[in-house]
Formats: sequence, C-alpha cells, structure tokens
Amino acid sequence: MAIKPKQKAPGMSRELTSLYLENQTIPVSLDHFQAKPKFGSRAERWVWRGFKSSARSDDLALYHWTKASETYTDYFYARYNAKTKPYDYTDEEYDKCIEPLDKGWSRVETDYLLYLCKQFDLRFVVIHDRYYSHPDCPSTGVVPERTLEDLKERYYAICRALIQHRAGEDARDPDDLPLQATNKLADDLALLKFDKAKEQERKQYLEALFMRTKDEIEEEEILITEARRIEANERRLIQEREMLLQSHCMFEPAPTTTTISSIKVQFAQASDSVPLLQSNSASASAGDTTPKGRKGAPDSSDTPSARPMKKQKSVHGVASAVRTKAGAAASKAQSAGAQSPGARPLGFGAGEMAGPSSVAASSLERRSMSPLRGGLFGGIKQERSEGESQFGAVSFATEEHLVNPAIVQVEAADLGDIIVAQRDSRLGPGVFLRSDKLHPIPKNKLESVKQFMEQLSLNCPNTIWPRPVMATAAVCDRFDSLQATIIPLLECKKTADKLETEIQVLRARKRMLVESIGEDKTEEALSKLPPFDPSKVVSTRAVTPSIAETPVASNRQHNRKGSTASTRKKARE
Amino acid sequence: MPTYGGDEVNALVIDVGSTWTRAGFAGEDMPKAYFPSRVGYIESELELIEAADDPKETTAADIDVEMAESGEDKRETPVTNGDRRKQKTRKYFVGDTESATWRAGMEIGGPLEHGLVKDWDIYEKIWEYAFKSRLRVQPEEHPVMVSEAAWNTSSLRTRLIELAFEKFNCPAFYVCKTPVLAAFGTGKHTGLVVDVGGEMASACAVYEGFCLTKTVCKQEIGGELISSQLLEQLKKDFDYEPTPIFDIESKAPVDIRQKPVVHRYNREGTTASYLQEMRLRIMQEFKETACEVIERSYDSNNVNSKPLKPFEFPDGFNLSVGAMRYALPEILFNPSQFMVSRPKQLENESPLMGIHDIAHKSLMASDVDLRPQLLNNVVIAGGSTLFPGFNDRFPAMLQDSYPGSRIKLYAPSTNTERKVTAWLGGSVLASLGTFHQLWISRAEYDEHGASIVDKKCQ
Ligand SMILES: Nc1ncnc2c1ncn2[C@@H]1O[C@H](COP(=O)(O)OP(=O)(O)O)[C@@H](O)[C@H]1O
Repeated sequence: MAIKPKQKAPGMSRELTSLYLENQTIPVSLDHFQAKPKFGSRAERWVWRGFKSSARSDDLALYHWTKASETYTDYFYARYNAKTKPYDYTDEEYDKCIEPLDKGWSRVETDYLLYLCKQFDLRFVVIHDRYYSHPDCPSTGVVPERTLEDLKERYYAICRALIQHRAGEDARDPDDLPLQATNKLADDLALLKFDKAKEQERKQYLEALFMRTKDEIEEEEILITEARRIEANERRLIQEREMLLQSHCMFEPAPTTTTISSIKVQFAQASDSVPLLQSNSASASAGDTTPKGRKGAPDSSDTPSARPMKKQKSVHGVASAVRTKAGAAASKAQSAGAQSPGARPLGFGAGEMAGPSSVAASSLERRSMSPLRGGLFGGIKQERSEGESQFGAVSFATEEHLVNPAIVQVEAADLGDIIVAQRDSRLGPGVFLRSDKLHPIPKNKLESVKQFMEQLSLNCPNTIWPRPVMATAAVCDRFDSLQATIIPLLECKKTADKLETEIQVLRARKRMLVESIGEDKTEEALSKLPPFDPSKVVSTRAVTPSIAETPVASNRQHNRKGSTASTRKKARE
Repeated sequence: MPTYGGDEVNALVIDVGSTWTRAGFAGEDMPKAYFPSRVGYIESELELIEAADDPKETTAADIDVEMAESGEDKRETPVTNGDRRKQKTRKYFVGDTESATWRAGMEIGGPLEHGLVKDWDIYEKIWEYAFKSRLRVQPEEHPVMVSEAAWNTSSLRTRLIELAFEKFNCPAFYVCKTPVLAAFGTGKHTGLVVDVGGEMASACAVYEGFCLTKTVCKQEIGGELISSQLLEQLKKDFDYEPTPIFDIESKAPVDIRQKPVVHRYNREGTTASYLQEMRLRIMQEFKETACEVIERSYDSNNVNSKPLKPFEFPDGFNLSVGAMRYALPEILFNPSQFMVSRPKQLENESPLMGIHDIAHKSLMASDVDLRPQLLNNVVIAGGSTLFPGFNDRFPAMLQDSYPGSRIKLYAPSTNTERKVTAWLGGSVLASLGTFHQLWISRAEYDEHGASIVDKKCQ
C-alpha cells in the first residue's frame, strides 16, 4: 500500500506528525538487505588451538576455535574466576580471640567450617547440607547435628572477634581515629551480628506462615479486605474533614480581640460584614452535612431537612443580622426555649415559636442541632447568646473541659451580670475546631516536626500542619504535649550536632598540631591553655533550650492555669 | 571473544538414563544420539584352552574388529570348575535396532538399578556405542561430561572416573548430578527439580547450582512401572497379552475387543526379558498416544465422561480406551490405589508416595527460607511428565499442600526437549567459558587418584 507522504510539518519528525494526524499509517522504512560479498578482503583464518587457563591449577590444555590473528596471554574467561575471601585466622589469633568464644567448638571443626565456607563461597545452605557428608570432613572432633544457625553463628562470631581483635592491634586511640574509621568498625561489627535465637524464632514464624491451611488463609484474606475497607473509609473521612477544614480556615480572618467589650465591638463590626462571612459559613456547612449524616448523628432529621436548610442558608445572613440588631426579640424567643429542659431541645422549642423570630430561631436550631465534633459552634454560640447566659452555661457544661473557657463576668449596664465564656485569644471570632486550639508549631520547625511525627508513625492527615485525626479533648491534650516535647528535642539535637562538629574540628586541629609540632609540644601547648572551664561549655549548652523553657511549653503552662488573656498575651510577647 | 559466555571445546555430554541414553556435543541444542539404554546380550560359556592366560588381549582385539557395528565384548568371569577353567562371555547389542532385533537367546538388560549403575559392562558398552558408533569421535580427544543420580555413591563415582580415564582415555572429565543439569537445562540455578523418568521418580532442591543432598527424595515409580501395569491391566480386563511384531507372521483384522487372529512364528529361544521388553515398547506407544493425566483430582464420573480413544495393537487387537487411559498415569499421584498389582521392587516401600508427596518431602527437608524460592522455580523433567494434563495437575496437587505459596512450573518448552532436559543442561554447562576451569584433568587424576572426583564435582 503506497501512502502518499503527508506534508511534513516543519520542526516535527515524520513519525510524530503521523502520530499526530490520526489514522495515518506510520511509515516504516524498508531496509533492503543487500548482501555484498567482500571480495577484496581475505577470509579470516580460524585455527583449532589449545589454550590454558590461569584459573586452573594444572596445565590442562583444552582446544577451541579462535581467529588465527588473535593472541592471548591468558584464557579470556579466567578473569571471571572470582572467589570470596572468608575470614581466616592465624594460630595466634585463634588462641587469643577465637578459642575463648565457644567451648563447644574445637579447632579442628572450626578449621573445617572455614574450609567449607571458602569452598562453597559462604553458601551456608550448601555448607550445612554437606557438613557431614563432605569428603574432607574430619573423622573426629565434629559435633553431630549442627544446625544451620549453629554454623552461621560460629562463623559470624569468629568474624566479629577477628575484626575487633585486628582493630585492637591497631593501637591508635579510637577517639583519635577519624570518625569514619570508627564508624566503619561499628558498621562491620553490626553487619556481622548474628542472633541465633532471633533467627530461630524467625524461622519458626516462617514455618508457621508456610504451613497455613486453606481456611486460615481465607480468613486472613477476609480480614485484609475488611481492613482495607476500613482504611478506605477512614481516608475518605479524613479527606472530607480536610475539605471542611480548608473552607473553615477561609472565613476566619479576623484579628484577635481579647476583652469583652472588644468582642462586642468586633461583633458589631462583624455583623456589618455578615453577608460575606455567612456565605462562607454556608459553604462550610454544605460540606458538613455529608459526614454528619453518615456518622449517624443524633439528629436523624438532618438528612430530610437538608434541602430546607439550604434554603435557610440563603436567608441566614439576614437572619443573624436581624437577630443581632434586634437582639431582644430573639432573646425572648430563646429564653422561651430555654425553659424547656435540657440544652438540645431548646432549639426545637425555639423553632416552635411562631412569628418573625422564627427565622432567627431556625438558624439557632440548626446550630444546636449540630454539636459538631469538638464544639465547632461552641465559641460562636457562647458569644452570640450573651442574652442567655444560662444557655451557654447549660449547653456547654459538658464541653467545658474541652473548650476550657474562662468564665468571665462582665458588668453591662442594661443587661445586668453577664457570664461569658472566655475565648482563646488566638482563635478570633467565629467557629473553630478544637484542634485549632493546639499550639501552633513555629513555621521553621514545621517540616522537622512533621517528619518526626511520621517517624512515630503518627497519622496526621493534615498536609499543612500536624493535627490529630480524632480530635477529642484527650487526644488534643496528648498531641499538644507531644509537640511540646518534640520541639525542644529537635532543638537539643541541633545543638548537639553543632557541638559534635565543633569537637571534630578541634580534634582535627589537634591532629594537625601534633603532625606539625609533635606530640610532646602539643601537650605542652595544650597545658598552657587556660584550664578547662565548665562554665564555657555551659554557655554553649545554654543555647539548648531546656524543655521547660520553650515557648510552646510555657504557653501551655499558662494555658493550663487558665490565666486571663492579657497574661497570655504577655507570654506570647 | 564472544560475549555470550560460551566457549566450545568440543566436549562430549552423555546422560545414561534407566531407559534412554542421550549423548552429543556440548553446545548443541539436541543430543546427536538418543537410543535405549537397555541393550541385548547373548551369554555363552567358552572353555578356556591356551589363550585363557591372557584373556584381555582377545577382548581388545574383538572390540577393534567388531565394535563399530554391533558392539561385542566378552566378559571374563573365570569360573573354576574342577581343574578346567570356564569363561562366560557376553556379546552385546546396543542401539535402537540392534537391541530390538530378535536373536535366539538374546536377553535384554539395563545398566542401572535404582538410578545407580549396576552393570558396568553394559554401561561401558553404552558409552562405547555412543561415542564410537554414533558420534564417531575418539574419546581421547574430547573432555567428557557425565550425569549421575543425585544419590550416587562415592564408590560408584570412583568407578566412573576410572572408566573415563582408564578405559576411554579422556583428556578431561566431569560428573554432575542430574537435577543440577536439569535445572541448568531449564535456565535455572535454583529450584525444586522433579524428575520422573523411566524407573525412578525423584525430587531434590538445587541451590545455586548445588544439589542439596539432604533434600533428595526418590521412589521407584516411573514410566516403566506404568507400562508394566498397563500390561497387567490388559490381561485382567481383556485376558489379552500383546504379541510383538517380531513374533507376528500374519494377522487378520478383528472386531473391537475381539481376540486377535494372529499367526505367530513362535520362535525358538526367545527369552522372557526380550519378550517383555518388546511388550513394553508397545506400551510405550500406547502411553504416548492414549494416556493422559486428568487435570483435576481423579473421580470416576469425571473420567467416564471423557472421550474414548481408539488404539490398535500390532497384532490387530483394538479397543476404545476409556477410563484406563486416565487410571494408569494416576499411579504417579496415587500409586497404592491405582496399581493393578504391587511389583517386586515396591514391596518393601511403605507407604507409597505420589510424586507430589515426593516433592513435598523434598521441600520440607530444605531450609524454610529457601522454600518460597523453590516453589517459585519448580523444574519438571523426565519423559513420564509428558502425559498431557500433567502440567496442570502437578502444580494443583502441590498447591493443595501449600495454599499460601506461589508455585511456578518450569520445563523446556517442547516435549523432545523435556526428554533430554538433563542432557541440555550438560550441554550448556560444558560449553561455558567459565566452566573449563572445573574439568578434572588427566594430570589431576594421575596426581590425586580417583578420589579427586568427590573433591571437584560437588
Ligand atoms: N510422551 C510420553 N508420554 C508418556 N510417557 C513417556 C512419553 N515419552 C516418554 N515417556 C516415558 O518416559 C520414560 C523415559 O523417561 P526418561 O526421562 O528418558 O527416563 P530416564 O532418564 O530414566 O531414562 C519412559 O518410561 C517412557 O515410557
């Protein structure tokens, strides 16, 4: 089939063009093979030639065909004759460091073991297999029924002993060795570590795993799928919550105010910008409904009411505005509701109210209906229902220890004594999550803290900053204290590293000094130095903040005490 | 130099099995010679007169003259009978046609028993026939690579190396265990090798080219057992014993399952072993055309629903084979249930193992760390694994024992290659450039003696 070559786009290879223009067969260039006999050159001569290999201990000559022109000094494949070099010992070494290791092994048997190691290139499976049937097996002195682990243990014990011994002969002070050298020794020793008991245990487990019956495997598979399902669910949950968190963050812009009056002021201000804020909150709660419903929240009315609620949201902004401005009407409505027992039915009670206030009430109802995880609306309610102090007190009594509000009494001329839950100054107005109350991690530490938590295999779904998955009060508390430990710990590590390098540098200097002026003189010079001054060290150490002194920790302490916002502010400053 | 690692030194590779022998040049992908290991021999007693003082010379001369075609030798077993010395001589007939040709008084015998060389004369004749008559080479000019059973003994190996250096004057020699070669022939250096040949079924773990001797597990069930059981089954079911071609003068067509109408020669001097051998060769054909292994576990309903296969024996007897063609190969998996009668060699074995049991036993004898790797590389070799359906059935049986493990089967791709797997491995090994340092040379043999074979061929 002859294809007319398409117009070739400039700067594009033909193959690419034809891929680009679909339905085009890719042109394949036909390589017409043309055998061109080379008459000019003479045919290469091949000869049947004997060769000897350096890999052989005898001088067996085998024959193969080679080009007559080729000449070798050694057999080509002799270069692949690589042998492992297992450790070996001298008599003296044996007596000194191997003999005392294990009385169960005789010299004869140890020699034999090493011989096998060499012969089978440390393939312990084979060594073990042939241990008693090998033609070179000594007739006496070999303990019967050695296990594979016995052989390995012995061999590695010998290696460790030899390494240590030889490093010991190297009479330098380990402190004086460059760090890499000491590390290498440690690494070597670690590599050759063999724990027979562990190994046997491991094999037992493997054996059990290997001998699983069909039923066991089926059961395991079911469990695994179940676990997968749960994990997937959890992931979804976390994802949804993440989304929620993000939208929540968007509408928490306000700067902190600390006193009641400023709350009021701010609140008034806020009410001006209410339409904007509320629309945000509406979007937040839109995301809200799903997890709530799934979680089987107490209010089963939630799902059916989802649609009407949306409608509410559109009027919501107006509603709150109405409520705040004409607080009296609303408060009346709510105080009516407050009379009905318990906090929760309160909203419903209010909902029963007819008339203009029912709009406001319904928005309230929505709130009280959704005691979102961790008192999402706790703060906001407390603030906004200034009129009904008992309302706040009642409905959040259970959550008090979570939100830990400082109850503040404020004189207000027209309303009498008002008891207001004191908010954390950081959080600003509006709803917040309990996990928001965690002390923030300084930006520059964020990465390392996250890493640390990962190492602890703490599952922190939040990608921006660590946050517990299930932010109950207890968890938050532990989380906070964990953070408060990690940060100073990291600081300490940093300082320690610094000191380490300093020591290294000083050592290197000392070495250089020794090299250039000799040991004695160095000692002399060193002794002339001002005596070792611990305080100096301490001063360097002082860079390391002690745990109690870290900002976070101190913050926490204040927090515990439940001090007023102003002292906290001081602390922060 | 070539980059593929091969370097051919024109080595010879010979694998003498219990039923078939394979021999050829290293580096080739098929053995040049493939012939039955069972040879014919006629024994005669000679009275020794003058020349008896030096019987060896006679033998040597005989070989030179006659060996090329029929392979004749005289075994000297001086028997003192009073003051006269008598000598038993054997004339050997090796090769496909030679051993099958009818001769008065010709017995048939094999070199191996239980996988080990038992009759060194026959063994030697096989070598001679392979090298001189089939490959047409001078063994003095070629390194020789030989296979041996995984359970070969040190004394037999010693004899083997003596044979190679003393009798055949090989310049270099190497002996390698069959499972290792089979693994190499499949392109593996580690694996569980399951070999079901003519007389033996064996399994053994191979680790990086070393056969793990403690994992060797074997039993005398194989193709020949199935063949002889087939004969018995035919006798039991149809009261029929096949007549081999050599005895048929003429025959007439008969209806299905009817007694054959055959006119026999009834030749004088037909030996029992020869007759049996010829019958077994018919059964061999029967097995190849009709027998199958059922893919899933054997149950009679399943088997009876399978299509029948027509088969006609040389004497005209014909039948449509039904359940029988599945039942007899089943001996491989369930010997005690499916054997028609217990043969002599298995009388003392108890309990009888199926080949999956053999594989299982071998696997359990290996280190637990190794087992997953072994199961992942199960190499099957040997002619009796060629029954259709075997490749599905065997792993399924294994899988039942290890539901949690991944089992993967390896075998040469074609049937002809599978009959010569071990030989192939030898061919590959002996043509590797890096292998040539391992040969036992004549000089080494001279210096260290025969015991060097245990040192160098691990
Ligand atoms: N296609 C086949 N189907 C079934 N059995 C076969 C087939 N080909 C060969 N055999 C059997 O395989 C056996 C020979 O296998 P082989 O591996 O050569 O054994 P060995 O190495 O012991 O001589 C014989 O018993 C023969 O009957």
